[in-house]
Amino acid sequence: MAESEELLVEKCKKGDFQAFEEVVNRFEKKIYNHALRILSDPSEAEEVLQDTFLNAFKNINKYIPSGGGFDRWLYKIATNNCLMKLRKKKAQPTVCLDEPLSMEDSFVKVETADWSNQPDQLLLDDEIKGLIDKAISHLPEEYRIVLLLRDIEGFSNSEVMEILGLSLPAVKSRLHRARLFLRGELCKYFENC
Amino acid sequence: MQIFRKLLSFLSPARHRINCKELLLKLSDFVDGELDSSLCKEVEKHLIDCRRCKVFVDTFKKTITILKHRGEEELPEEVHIKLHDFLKERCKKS
Repeated sequence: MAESEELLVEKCKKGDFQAFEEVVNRFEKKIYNHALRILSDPSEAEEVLQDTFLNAFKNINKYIPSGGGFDRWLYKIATNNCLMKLRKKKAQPTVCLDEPLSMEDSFVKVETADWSNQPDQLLLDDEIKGLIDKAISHLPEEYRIVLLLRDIEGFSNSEVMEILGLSLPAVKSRLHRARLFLRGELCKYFENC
Repeated sequence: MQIFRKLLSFLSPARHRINCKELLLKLSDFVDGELDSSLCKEVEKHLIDCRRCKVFVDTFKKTITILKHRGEEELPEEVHIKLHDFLKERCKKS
């Protein structure tokens, strides 16, 4: 039977490197994917992956177990490492989502095509995945990271709040606008199909 | 007494009729199940009468479904090997 994360972390705190390698095996794919989605650059994602686990190893004694929160702690380190990389890079053009939500922009003006009943298999094909990835990369980082943690990694709003050190209204507002933007991009795609 | 009852029912949140704009603002709370039950019922009522909002909500929900099922890229084998070599070298030093 696989050891629990909390038990492995306790072993890591006592300097058990084998236990730490097991922790790395469990989370490396998730952390790599998270970094790749934020940075859109495989070599930078690899650097973040290495830095994240090195930081985790060095600071493992600072981790205080709180109801299965080890993954949140790791994602917090990884996200901060990604943000540091983004700040060093030249800003990429992104969409502006700071305007108040407007009905005109959203749906009153246009009759929306109903693509919601498309088979799931079609919605998960490579073309749609590519479209989603591109749309996510166009989101400003503060919206992108909230969306990734909430809708792709599956953290709750409160967990995202804890990882990013944001207020709950800020998490909800960014998430909502990011989702609206992605929905809009999918609508454009289906209108042209 | 009747006037008092009318006033109470007017002030009750259950009487609030949600419009398209309010629905747009509360959509994530609605699909995430975080809307209070009386408002949730109002949204459901609104969706029966407003086809445009119904399509909007359905496509919004589908967007979230697509995101949740986006899946993960495999970790390249060389990235895995380099990571473990890096950690063996750096962690044992510290």
